[in-house]
Amino acid sequence: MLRIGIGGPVGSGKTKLIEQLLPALAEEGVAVAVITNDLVTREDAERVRQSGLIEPDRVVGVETGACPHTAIREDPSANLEAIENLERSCGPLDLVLIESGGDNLSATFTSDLVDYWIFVIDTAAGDDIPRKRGMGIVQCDLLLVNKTDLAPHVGASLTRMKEDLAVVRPNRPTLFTDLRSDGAAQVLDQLRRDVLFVGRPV
Amino acid sequence: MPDPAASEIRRIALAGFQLADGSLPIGRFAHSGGAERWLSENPGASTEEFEQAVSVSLTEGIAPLDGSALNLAHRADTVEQLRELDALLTAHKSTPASRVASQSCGRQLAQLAPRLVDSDLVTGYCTLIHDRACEGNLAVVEGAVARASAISAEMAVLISLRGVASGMLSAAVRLGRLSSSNAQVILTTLAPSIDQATTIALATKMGEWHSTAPEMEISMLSSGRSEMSFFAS
Repeated sequence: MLRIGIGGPVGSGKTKLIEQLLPALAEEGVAVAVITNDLVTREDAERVRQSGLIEPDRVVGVETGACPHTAIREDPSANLEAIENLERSCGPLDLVLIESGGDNLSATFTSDLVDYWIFVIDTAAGDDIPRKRGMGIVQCDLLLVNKTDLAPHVGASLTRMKEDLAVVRPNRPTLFTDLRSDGAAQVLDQLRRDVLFVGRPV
Repeated sequence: MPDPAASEIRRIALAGFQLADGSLPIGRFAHSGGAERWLSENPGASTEEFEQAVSVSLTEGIAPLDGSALNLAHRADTVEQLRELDALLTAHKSTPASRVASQSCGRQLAQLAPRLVDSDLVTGYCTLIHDRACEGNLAVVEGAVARASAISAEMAVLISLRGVASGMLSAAVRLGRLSSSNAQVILTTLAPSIDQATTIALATKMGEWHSTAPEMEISMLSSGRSEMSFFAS
């Protein structure tokens, strides 16, 4: 079973990414479950459950003790337990998507928890974000710069962001997406290349 | 000349520090022991009142149940004895939230334990937990691991109770109700309560198990129904 982490600041598009990936994965017969690490409520878990994109019992919300980064980095126990319980209740899984609660730019996933992780930022947070070299941006396996459609409206330069990211993470992939339209297709292509289902036509 | 006895003492101390360490990844950070709900229900509570609630929780709630179970687990010689203690402890836990907190953390420690200590007893018990043949309450796992590390029962109980107090204070810090420096001061002030709780835990026999810190337990009970919470308990 492959475990993919999805982290990033509040409102950057983490849950939207999951909502976009689920139909494509379901179409290919991939057995998926989702774990969310919300701050206070189980809002993200409920949103995914009620989306109609996945069986509701395959979505679990984990309380993070006020620290999403702790639950995905220092001590992933609560998430590991959630994975174990999902496997027991849902049967064998091919893939678990683990969404971190919205956190700062330094949040990272421990390799005890995930095999691969995606970090999502958005243009509306400012085009200087890449230059801040947050650990999430620098270390993630795949970086998404989301909401490219908003860039002109908030004065964010995509060119500048691309140039900065070429310096900050020269050997790691970055995708510029608008997940409200078709951005998930290129994410899936990247996942196929990097980790997903080698030899399987996903 | 190296002193083998002194080295052994230091080795045991290091094992104790590891069990007490907040960075031990067994999910303790996700549980407030009822503190989150208690603080929510007592928005005007003073630092002294919170300290008192933690103290009562230790001496009246945790010590005569989990503390005693840890002490008895430390003295268990067989996997079957650990399994019986485990089942009995579950039966004595009155709230779903307290059972979840105890077993969630216990199961994580059980996954890690065989890599920390070389003990057939610990490995056998942890295998049962892994196979879901027993619950894996934290106190019982801690007792077994402590014994395998040559940590005394008294010290193991002290470490565990101090961890409970520290966890509740840490929850208050993360909820913005207590400064981190004040939390350390309170932890020092709580030393007599932790000491008293240790004495109670060591003296309580299995047939005398009880947990009667109603204020914090009611908070734990209602935390399980809350839709808005940072903590799992």
